[in-house]
Amino acid sequence: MIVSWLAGLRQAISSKLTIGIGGLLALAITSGQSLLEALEPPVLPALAAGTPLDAGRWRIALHEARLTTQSRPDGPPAPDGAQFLALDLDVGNRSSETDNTFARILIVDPPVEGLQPSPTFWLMRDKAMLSALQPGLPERVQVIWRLAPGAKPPERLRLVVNGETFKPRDNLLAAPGWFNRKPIAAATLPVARVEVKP
Amino acid sequence: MSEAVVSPSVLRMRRISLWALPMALALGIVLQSHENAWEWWRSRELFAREVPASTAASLGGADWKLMGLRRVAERADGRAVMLLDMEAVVRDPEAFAVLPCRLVLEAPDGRRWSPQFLTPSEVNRLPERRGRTIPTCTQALASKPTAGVTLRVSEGFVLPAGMDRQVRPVLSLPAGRPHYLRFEIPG
Amino acid sequence: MSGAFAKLGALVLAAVLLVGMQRYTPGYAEITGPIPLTGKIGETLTGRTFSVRADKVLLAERLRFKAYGREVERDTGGVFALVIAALEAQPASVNVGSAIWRSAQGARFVASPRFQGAPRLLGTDRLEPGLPQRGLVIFEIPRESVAGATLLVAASRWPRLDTQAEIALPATLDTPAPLIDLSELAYE
Repeated sequence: MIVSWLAGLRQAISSKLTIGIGGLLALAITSGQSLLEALEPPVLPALAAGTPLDAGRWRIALHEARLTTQSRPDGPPAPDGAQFLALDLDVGNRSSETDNTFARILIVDPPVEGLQPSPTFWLMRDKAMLSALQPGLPERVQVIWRLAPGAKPPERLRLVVNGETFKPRDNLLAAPGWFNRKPIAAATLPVARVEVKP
Repeated sequence: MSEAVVSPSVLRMRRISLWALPMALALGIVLQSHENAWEWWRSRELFAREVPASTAASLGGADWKLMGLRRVAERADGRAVMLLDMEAVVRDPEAFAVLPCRLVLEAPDGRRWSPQFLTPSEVNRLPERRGRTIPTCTQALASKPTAGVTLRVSEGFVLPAGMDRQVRPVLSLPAGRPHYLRFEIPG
Repeated sequence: MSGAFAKLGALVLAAVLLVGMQRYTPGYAEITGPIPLTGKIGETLTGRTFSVRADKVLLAERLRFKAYGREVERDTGGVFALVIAALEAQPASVNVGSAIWRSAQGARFVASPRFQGAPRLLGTDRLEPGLPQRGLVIFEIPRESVAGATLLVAASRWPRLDTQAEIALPATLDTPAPLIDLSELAYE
């Protein structure tokens, strides 16, 4: 009687210990991970203007940022006297599939006050809105942000380039795809001025 | 190893367990998939109800009547433009408002033509339709009418010329499935 | 001693089996993926909701067309591949919205969106039974993706348990024409 009770006790203690140790281990690993993430230097590699960068899914080279009065690359100045921020860049699709998610490539960081959050991407070849990037066919693209009326145009623009990594089988559907979007480089470009006619 | 002696009662228990296993599996499948099966049953067009000419039939919360199916025009490329007119008397507004409506023309060989998304211009030019907008089936369902209301519904179709004498309107509504209506053309 | 070896062997065998299953079991996307329907150029393929026949492939460096009353000319860093094809709904009205040029290397090029408003583009209008549509699909591809490609036609870009017509295109094609005017193209 007492022997079996003791055996039961031992079993209970050992299983509790196992669970406890496992839990502690998991806790240690996750806290270690978040600690590492917190320790990771927030400094991104600097990207010089005109230098091509492989960002996983895309290959990108930033050229010139400037202030303009045109809402599109070839149009006349916007009638309401609005100002726009234009950025020239080369983008290539390094994936194996036609892609229309190029709006994710760039973010303005720190954000500029009065800058429209979602810019328009223009395909310079057509002077028309860019709707897809074909694999292996890099294009010259102009990104145009509208500036809110009265907003102070920035002196310089800091752009963070996002990269993504390819997974041949994702965890949910076992389908190939691009995941883990994260900043991989930053470029600071001077914003060239154009004469604003009165 | 020596043969263990198994008592008859244990043997009986084992036999029962063995027979219970397939039943438990079947029960599991039923419990797992009865919702899917029900969904399938309610989304399929399985039983056609033939509606004799100039009579109304009930489906999906309304009484439906075929008012006319006629060829409006024939295009130069050999396509016939057809206009279908229906009348619906709403009985159960809640069931009636379940989208989408599937109102098609069906040929005897089973081919089906859906209505045109934009009403063909030939239909809009008809004198009796000038300046009037008659709702399509989906528009009628989406207008959420009250019980007792009589609605006119009309749809425009484009199909090969020569099919216009053979096709019959078929109406299927989510609230009415697995039943659907096939209307007989008068005359 | 041999018992220990047997145990170890069983363990290794189990591990190998598990790794193999994990590696080679088809994934969900594969099991519920497109149902291929293969054929050659000039052959009519009849799938679940439509039938398709690709007749001709043309290459061009520039394309000219008229859209919304405006003359437009498009050039490319690669080459334009034009596929002249016929599509028909079968047995019910249907939208066939996806045409893909799959290169011999496996890259998938979706039909170019740079030709909106061009005449006789396939995939714009819904298909009707008995009314075959003859028209054009335009792809923009790098020159190295021309040879030995396959045309994929389906109701959507990633068909799930639905027909995907896979048409083998000619292994070699003529040198690209410097300019093709879409309004002068012979479809028949």
